[in-house]
Amino acid sequence: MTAVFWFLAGVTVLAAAGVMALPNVFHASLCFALSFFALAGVYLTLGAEFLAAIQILIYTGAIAVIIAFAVMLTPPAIGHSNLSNRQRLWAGAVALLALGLLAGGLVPVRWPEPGPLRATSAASLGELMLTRYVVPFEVAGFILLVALIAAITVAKGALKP
Amino acid sequence: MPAGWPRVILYASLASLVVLGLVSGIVLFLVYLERRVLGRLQARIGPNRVGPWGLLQTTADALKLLTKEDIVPAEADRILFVLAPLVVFFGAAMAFAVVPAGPRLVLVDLGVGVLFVVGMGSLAMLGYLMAGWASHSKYSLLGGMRAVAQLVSYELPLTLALLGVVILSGSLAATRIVEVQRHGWFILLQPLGFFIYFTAGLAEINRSPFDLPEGESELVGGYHTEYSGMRWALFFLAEYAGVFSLSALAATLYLGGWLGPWLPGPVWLLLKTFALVFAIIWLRGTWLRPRLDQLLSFSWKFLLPLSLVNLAFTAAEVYFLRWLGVA
Repeated sequence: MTAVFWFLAGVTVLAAAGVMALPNVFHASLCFALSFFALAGVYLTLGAEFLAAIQILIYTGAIAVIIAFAVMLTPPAIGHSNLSNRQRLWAGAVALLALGLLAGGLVPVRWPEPGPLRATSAASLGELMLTRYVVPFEVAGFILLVALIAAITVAKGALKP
Repeated sequence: MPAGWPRVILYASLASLVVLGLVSGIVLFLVYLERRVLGRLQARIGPNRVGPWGLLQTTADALKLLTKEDIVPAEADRILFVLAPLVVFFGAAMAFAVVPAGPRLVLVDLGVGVLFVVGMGSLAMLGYLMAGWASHSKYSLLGGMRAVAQLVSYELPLTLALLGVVILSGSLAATRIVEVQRHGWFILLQPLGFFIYFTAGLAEINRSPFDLPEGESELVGGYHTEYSGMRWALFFLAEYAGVFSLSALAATLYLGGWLGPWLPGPVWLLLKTFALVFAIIWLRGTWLRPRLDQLLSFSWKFLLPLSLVNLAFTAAEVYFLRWLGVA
């Protein structure tokens, strides 16, 4: 399984790099989808069946598609993004800062030894969500509802003369 | 575990070959069936010259398509143009992997089989977008956009309808869902759910009356306007694979799958599936094609609220069944 894992991990990272490096916005959005899809495969090799299915359903099937859809709605003149500008210095500084912060947080952590993988079933996940994590679960649902209503309001407002 | 690798690869290639063979064989027959049934519905005979009862007509057509010249439009985005039919076909064919024809007769008995099928369906969306965009043609672009607008709208009621089955059976695995139906088919407990699933499913596979993405009279051919020969055949293959897998899944989730007396399981599954395939062809022969806005408001304003009602209804049902002591 390790070879499959590394292959999929490589595809995930390369596709993610493609999102940033490709000049064509539509190609970039497809790379986005590929990255999500390969990540679902990574989850599968780690025994997280449910997470993999959800990853494909939500990220590849919904988010990436909506992004590609939005790109198609833009006029062809914006189809090619400008990859370089005069902000390189600032961008580099921000990137270094982010790297430093992340490394500062991640390096000191003592990761547990990788033991045998346990498959998590959808049933046990659902059980946890409705017992131990019921408050975060409901809060997330509520926030999504608010976002939904807000989106409808914005769209309705745009229709009025 | 490097020792097991040859076996894994062998198994994976065999499974893929089985799926590919199954899909091609089934599609050849489905196209024949559709042409014959449509012929009868339109008071004509349909193909009856090549082979006995015209059975070999579609094989001859497939051979013709295979030998056609491969045309890629000059302005097309070549890589995406080539990839698009493959992505669409992949999404349609993968659904076959989790439909069980018997307690052990299933390629992959995924614990999350139902979710897997819905996810693969949404993968096809990307293929339509790619085809529409890469062809560099306004008809293709419009067709691709229509396909995706439709798929996004109908995916919601589809998934919510499936939730009813999942609640009743307490599992996402297709084999388990069939086993539970020993006590009674889910269509009896979920008549609304079945209606929503079947309607949204038809929209999901772009079948008539939801075939706007390829509406011949408006868009020439929709997202596959610029395609020809083998690549076009792949789109065609994917559509019929979609018809079959939609019917097979509906049979599995609502009509008791392989369960039935006297006959062996796979035969029962095929019988139920073909009954539904026949219904789909019948619909195509007799139904009108709606306008795009009608299509979308039907999903958002009717099917979606209905699927929420169905969900509440299912929850009440579970309590009632518990009270009766059945489940």
